Amino acid sequence: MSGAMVMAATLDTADRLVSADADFAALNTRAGGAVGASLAVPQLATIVRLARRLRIPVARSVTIADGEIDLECWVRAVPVAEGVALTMSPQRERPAWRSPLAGAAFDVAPPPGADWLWESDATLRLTRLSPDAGTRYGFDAASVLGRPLTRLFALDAGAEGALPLLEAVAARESFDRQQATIRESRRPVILAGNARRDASGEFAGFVGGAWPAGIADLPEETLSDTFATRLDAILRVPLGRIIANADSINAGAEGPIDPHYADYAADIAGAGRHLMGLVDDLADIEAIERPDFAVETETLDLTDIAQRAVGLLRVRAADGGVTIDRGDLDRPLMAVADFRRALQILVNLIGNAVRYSPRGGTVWLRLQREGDRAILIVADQGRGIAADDHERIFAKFARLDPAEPGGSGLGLYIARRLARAMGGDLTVDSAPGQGARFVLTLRAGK
Amino acid sequence: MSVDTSIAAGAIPPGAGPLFARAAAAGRRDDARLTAAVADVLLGDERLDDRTRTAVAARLAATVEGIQATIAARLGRTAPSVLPLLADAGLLRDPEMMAALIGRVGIDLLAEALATHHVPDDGRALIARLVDCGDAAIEAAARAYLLADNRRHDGDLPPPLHARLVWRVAAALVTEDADTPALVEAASREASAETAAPLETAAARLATAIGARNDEIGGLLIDALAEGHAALFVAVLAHALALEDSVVRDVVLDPDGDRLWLMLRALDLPRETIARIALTLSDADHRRDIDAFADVLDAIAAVPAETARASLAALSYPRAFRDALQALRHG
Repeated sequence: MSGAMVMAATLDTADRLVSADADFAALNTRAGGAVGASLAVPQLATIVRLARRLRIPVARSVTIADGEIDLECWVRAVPVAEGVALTMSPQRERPAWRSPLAGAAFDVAPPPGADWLWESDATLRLTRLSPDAGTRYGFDAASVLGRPLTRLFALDAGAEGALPLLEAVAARESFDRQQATIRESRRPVILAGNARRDASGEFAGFVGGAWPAGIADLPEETLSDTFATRLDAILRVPLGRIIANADSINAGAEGPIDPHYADYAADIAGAGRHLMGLVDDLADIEAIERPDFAVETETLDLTDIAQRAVGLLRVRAADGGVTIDRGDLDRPLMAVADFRRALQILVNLIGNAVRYSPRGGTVWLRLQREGDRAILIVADQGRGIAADDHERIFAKFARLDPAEPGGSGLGLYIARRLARAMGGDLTVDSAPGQGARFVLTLRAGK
Repeated sequence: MSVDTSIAAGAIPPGAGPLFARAAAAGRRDDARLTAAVADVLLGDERLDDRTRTAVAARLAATVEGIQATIAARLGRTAPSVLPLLADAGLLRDPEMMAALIGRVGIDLLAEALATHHVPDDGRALIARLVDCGDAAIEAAARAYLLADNRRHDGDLPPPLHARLVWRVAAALVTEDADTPALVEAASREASAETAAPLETAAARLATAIGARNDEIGGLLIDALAEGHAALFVAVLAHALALEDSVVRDVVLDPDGDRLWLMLRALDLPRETIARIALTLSDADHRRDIDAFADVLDAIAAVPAETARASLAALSYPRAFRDALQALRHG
């Protein structure tokens, strides 16, 4: 169905359907209605009843379930002498993830990391400005509010004459990297704006941000920096709260609850922990991909680190019915490494081995020194990895079996980058059905 | 297991004093908590909805902490938030101040809900029209209104209430080693600082500047409400009825709209205008029952303007007089 399509129907003074065009009749019939009866879709019946009783036009956005799909429709009921005339224009199929139309559709976040914010209505008149923007950027906020955006900004064309803002207006979409100059102070800025939609789904203006030109090859860099430096505030804190609250709901801390809800809460907490792990991974990637990334190494006992990693994973191994054979983990083996990073690698390797081991299986740890290298081997009895995949598993977001639960596909990528940053390496040898052997090599210490 | 016999039975061991003090205080807190919980449970419909409660608490905290930060910046020192201190001392249980805050938050939440449901028609938005209407006084007032609307989350109180709160914050900042004269000087400057006009004031000035004729008021009210300018809706209505803004604000925020319908009838507004206003409000506030309104709409429309005006007469008396009457009746 297209946005231009309009369905129509008329109703009598008792809200019974008198006539309808083919599309409306089809929709009403599928919902169980008929000519001479009240409308079968309850939301439509409500709008018709209100228009008739109040004797004013009533217009609303309504989501109608028609067969398999949910249709967002703009519905208008107008009282007429002999009853009510109803028109309905389907706007779009409703995406499954959207929350109920009202608040969510209107509540658009500004572009992240902007120096100051502005908002406009659909006619591009400024409706809102950060209170201190005028004083900081040298313009009089009072004289530009309520006026066209172009009273404040002179838009500058980019390469090949592109004007992202105007293109965004035409397409009713968000934009970024619009170069502009503040007319009053002649200060160059970069603009970005997120399109806002009203209750009927139409373009309702921009929620925008401005950056000083110069630091502004934006907004990706800004977003990325913000992400790295404010990760705690923007992701970890809210996630931590979600997990903590879900755990306390699950534990019935506020009183007994239906077991179903306790399970849902456990799911929420589990999903939250998964996301938290992903955030940690992304923070690591942010760090290790920086050109100046370095690891401070010292001489450490790799045996001690391996024992600690095993200790951390003991419960998970017991849950999975997996034995960790620690072999010769009693003789010290000195290696050059960073304690925290080495522990992170070992937890990842042993954790993977436990996860992919069959119940009743064994994970072997072996430590040995070969010349100037200290070597740790983690071997499992899992399904093994085909030779073609030996490099692929170290790539970002690599998952050999997408259906496999858990894990972000970042662990081995991070582990290898960390091993190499410490002057070592991480490799695998394995064949399908033979289990996998991960070999961590580090410089031997004295 | 052995029993330590070195401390006589009944004596408080050294170092455990604070534990017993805290335990005793907790006992008193239990009583207060129970009293509050009982009151809360028995409040019924009079209880603020959770969204408003949270928003009022946040606005109160932001206002107090904003004042504290300004004073602290003038003195060049920082201190922990005085909010708990003021709350414990009962200095925030100020009906006048809380009424202003709750009213302001109510109007802001209504404005947000209205804007969410707003569907622009093809014409230009109300304020955009006023900013460019050709009448210098209206244009200036409309711009001032936009500026105030822009700042509406800053938590500004009307000047006398702002000054009262400044002195309370300042008093809470007094410590043994504080330089009290400097504190008083800093607070004094903050109390008398020329703050920008709050939204209510800017809206009232705009309503006065527009000075809508009787035949314009209906359209103006509908546009203001539909576009989410709840404060302007209140101001236009208050100006037309010559009532205090706070009186009209409380009536507009009351989900039981009877007094509002009478106000609209007092202006002799037709059935259709009243219906449009009621529909817009009910779309934005689900506590309002539009079907119940439809049942009485014809009766509302039939109320003569004179009768409606007479029924509102009591609202036009000065607030102090009304408060005194109320106190005497409930004595």
